[in-house]
Amino acid sequence: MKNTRILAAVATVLASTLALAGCSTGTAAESRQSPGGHTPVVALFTASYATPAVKLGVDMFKSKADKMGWTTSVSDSANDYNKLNAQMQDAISRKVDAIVMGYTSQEKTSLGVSAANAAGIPVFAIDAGVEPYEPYALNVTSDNSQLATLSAQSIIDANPKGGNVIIIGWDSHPGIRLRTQVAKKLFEDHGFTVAVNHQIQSPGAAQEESMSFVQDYLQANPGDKAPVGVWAGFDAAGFGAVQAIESAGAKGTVVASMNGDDFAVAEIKKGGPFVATVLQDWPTIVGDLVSGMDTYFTKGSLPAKNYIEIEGTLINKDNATKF
Amino acid sequence: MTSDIHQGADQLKAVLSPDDYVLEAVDISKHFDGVFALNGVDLKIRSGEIHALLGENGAGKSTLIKILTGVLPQDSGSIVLNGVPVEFKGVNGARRAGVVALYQELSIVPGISVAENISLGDDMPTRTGLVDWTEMRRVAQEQLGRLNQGHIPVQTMAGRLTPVQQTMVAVARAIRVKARVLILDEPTASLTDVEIQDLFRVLRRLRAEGVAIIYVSHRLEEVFTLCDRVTIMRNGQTVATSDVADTTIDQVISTMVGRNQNDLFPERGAPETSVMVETRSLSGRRLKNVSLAVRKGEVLGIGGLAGSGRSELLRILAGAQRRTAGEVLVDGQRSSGLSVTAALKQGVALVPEERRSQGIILSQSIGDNIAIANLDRIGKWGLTTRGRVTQLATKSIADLKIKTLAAGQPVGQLSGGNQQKVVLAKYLARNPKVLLLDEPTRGIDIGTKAEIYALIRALAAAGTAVIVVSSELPELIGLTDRIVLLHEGRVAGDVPAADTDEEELLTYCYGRAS
Amino acid sequence: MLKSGGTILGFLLLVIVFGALRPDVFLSFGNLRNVLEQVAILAIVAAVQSVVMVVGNFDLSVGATASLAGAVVAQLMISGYGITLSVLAALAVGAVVGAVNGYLTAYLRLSAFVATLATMTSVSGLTFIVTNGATLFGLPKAFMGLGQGRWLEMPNPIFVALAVSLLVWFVLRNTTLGRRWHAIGGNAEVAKLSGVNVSLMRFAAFVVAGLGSALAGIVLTSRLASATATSGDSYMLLAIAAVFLGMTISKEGQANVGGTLIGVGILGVLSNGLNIVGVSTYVQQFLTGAIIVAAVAFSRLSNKGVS
Repeated sequence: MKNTRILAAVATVLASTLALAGCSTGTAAESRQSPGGHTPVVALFTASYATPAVKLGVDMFKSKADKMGWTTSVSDSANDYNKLNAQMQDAISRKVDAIVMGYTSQEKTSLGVSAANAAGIPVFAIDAGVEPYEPYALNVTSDNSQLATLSAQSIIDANPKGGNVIIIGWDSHPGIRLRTQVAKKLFEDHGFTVAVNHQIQSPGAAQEESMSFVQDYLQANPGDKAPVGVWAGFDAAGFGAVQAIESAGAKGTVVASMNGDDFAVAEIKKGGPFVATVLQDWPTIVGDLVSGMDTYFTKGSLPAKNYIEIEGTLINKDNATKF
Repeated sequence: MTSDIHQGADQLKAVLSPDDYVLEAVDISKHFDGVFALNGVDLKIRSGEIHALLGENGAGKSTLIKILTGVLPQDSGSIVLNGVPVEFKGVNGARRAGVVALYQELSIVPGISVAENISLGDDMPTRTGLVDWTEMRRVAQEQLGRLNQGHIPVQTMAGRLTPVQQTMVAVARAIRVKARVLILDEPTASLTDVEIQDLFRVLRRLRAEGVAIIYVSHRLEEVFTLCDRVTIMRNGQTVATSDVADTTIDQVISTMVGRNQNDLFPERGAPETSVMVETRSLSGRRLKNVSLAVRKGEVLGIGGLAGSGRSELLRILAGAQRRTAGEVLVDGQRSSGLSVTAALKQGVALVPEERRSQGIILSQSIGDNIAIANLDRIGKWGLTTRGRVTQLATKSIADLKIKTLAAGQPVGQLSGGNQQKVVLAKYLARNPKVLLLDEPTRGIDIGTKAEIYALIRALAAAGTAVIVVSSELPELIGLTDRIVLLHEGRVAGDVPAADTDEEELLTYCYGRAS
Repeated sequence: MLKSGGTILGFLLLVIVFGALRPDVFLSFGNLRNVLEQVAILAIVAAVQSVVMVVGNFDLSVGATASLAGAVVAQLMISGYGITLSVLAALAVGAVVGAVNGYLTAYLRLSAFVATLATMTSVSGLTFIVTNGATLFGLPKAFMGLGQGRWLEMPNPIFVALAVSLLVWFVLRNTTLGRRWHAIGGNAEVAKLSGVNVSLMRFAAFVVAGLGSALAGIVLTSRLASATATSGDSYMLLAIAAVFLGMTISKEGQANVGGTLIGVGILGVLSNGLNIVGVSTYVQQFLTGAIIVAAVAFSRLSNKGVS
């Protein structure tokens, strides 16, 4: 009994030591003092660091901010917006110089954002909202309409005679919802029929879910009834659709999605059903935001336009090798 | 003595008006699974008296208290409160009527304040639907003051108090509603002598206020110091009521024990001379320095009060509990005492005390239950087949005459006696050298009891050393060759079963032997 | 019959309803093969979850362990290690997670809920570290055979699931280990007093769960040709739901592999059938929950009626 207790204690100590060690290697910011005075302190908030694309953008921001000499902290609330608002309040009380929202929805963060405004702390944003939003000092975002248009157009171009298409979306995400609306309208304007608009349940397992759904759909609608295209709101869902189409041997069904993830580019190179993805231009998005923030820190002025949309680049068979 | 007391009580009844009894139990019966726990019990309690309720374990005291306080409904008979027949609807019904019981451990909630404890239940003071804390504290102080215990801080967490203070809080809670009858079950079990005197002062004070107190205790000295009258129960019946002044401890003991049971017991055998199992200065949580030896073919009985260390002795021998000191030798080999598995390998098997929670898995079949204790024997390379499980079960069913439809029948569907046979079968299938039996016949019918006694004798005759723990003294006397009595973890007596009686055994149990 | 048959009837009812709605599609060989393929990985996780639940505990970390093993196998192969070595390493990682769960639960006596919730969280964190939050892809062709290849016209994951289920069924039924697990789940005190090493057996059950979850994660990575930090997470709740559904089939209310597979079947048929009939995801989610409750409640009610 006593031995067990000692073991338990040792285990606890060991675990916490490991955890602490993990934290220090994981988050130790090598903040370099900017010469001649006050180092800007920046707090970044995200709710979806677990999503590969989000992690990419956030990490990119962090490294650029480090290069600028800013002290940056990153908080992830793992989809808990209540917690995120509370974390923002904490940052406001410790009087950070600027707040950056990473890939959040503006409707769910109004509490924290307006508190920041009230405290005179400017709120910058990466891809956080799909329309201009007054309380933001600057939101640089993907041009979701353009992303959706480019990818949907690839399916339209591949099928001059029109036909049925499937949409796989995730409406809980405002950006993806907007993309879905734009794609749907484009398909209908070109005489295509959107046979079904399927919603992903758990984005963490989107690839498998999309795969099962398309598999079932092809089973129920074989041969001539098979859709001519599957349009997915993001690459993981598109990848699942591609796998289902390949395993069902459905000829003539093409897939297009967006993000420009590596695995999507690799599939497109193979020349299978995956015909197009659209690369979101993170370097430009993050770069524009950082330079806007730098202007604010050095000159104290905020940009005239607080909403900038950055276009993406279409990746298809013709140019895939370059990515 | 019995008839004298009854005559006396009848005469008293004639003289006194019924109003003098605050609480009467009239001809109460109650049975569980076809076995009578109470069989026509009569109990009459006067206001302003402390009335001891005595009896051996299983005599029916707990069941009676549960019925008096609305925890259990009676099958027949009636409860009369101040001359009016009543039917309590649950504990709160009895509590509102002024009949409250205080159990040894369960009386207070340690995690909440003293004041909350005192007001617990359905009578918490409220104002506009919310808890009225001021009133609750006032009530608590008032009640504790009544017990002369005003020094107990009412806002403290009850669990932080000393045991006697906790008892006082429980008493205060009991008398918070106009308690007319207060029932105390072994209230002094965890108290020191000084604390006991404190409690007695409080109880006498309540008696002076006219509260009737029913006092249940195994400590006869206490009963004789504190109580006014005593009622003795045996086998689910009240067998005697008397003024304490008119009786003696010895008389009480012999009344508690009653007459010998019928001839259930087989002939004693002739133990061999060689020792099969031996303990040397064995100690555990309760057990202190116990040395004893059991010979091949001998049936040793272990007696003692609950908590005397009887069961612990068996559990240590069986490897179910670690010893803290001493050693055990089985057939000359030192035993590791580390696990049940090790003990079983050495040939020591324990048939545990609680059949349903320790002996059998109710949802599983007879075959599976028997197999569990024999997996090392019926499994080959870790494999076992239905066939081998059923084969073993079929043999056991035949050997022990288990009444069942098939080996696949869940044991939960069997009667208590047959369930007990399944537990025995589990361990007997291993042919143990040392068989430990803890309360082997509790809650089973007479017929099966006799079968089990015969079985035990047969095993002994074949050379098995048997140790039986039992609360039933007649069983120890009738079944065993020799009886060792434990008192507070120590050996208090070691007597041949053939020439002892229950009174002698009880004096050892109560640690009163000179 | 009603007593234990409610859930089986429910399963058959689902098959009949979907079969009637789309007879040409639902009952076709191709579709039934799809259903089996889609539930195969869940079946592996649920089978080993059954073991833990037979012992009277449950393991919340199975999904996270599957994700971790999937990520480990992918990361190792990408880093140039051989397929066999990578698979063995991923299985070992699963066994270690199971051993931690087992140690916490069996020896330190933490409640399984707390212990496995904690490991689930930590394991999830480890998976993010292993994947660095990215989608791992570009795995060797030969490895993909495990999850995407076919044998006798049937996808390979089905055979893996079948093998695991049969193995677990056999062990639970025909080995002393299985009888010990059953005894512990029936009543741990009785088992202890019958000479069963309760702690060790409990520990072993969790190791089996860890191993099985890791295998499921490896098959999943092969099937998806990629791994993310969260790909297997959703299996945890589905597996527990499947075992619970299966427990209603046993008279004693015990976890059993046969029942678990029926539970897996119900979940799989439900999702596939609703997809085929064309019911939206949101309604699907609602119906799945409602049908689980209905099945369990129905078997409760009919149990009451009998006893």
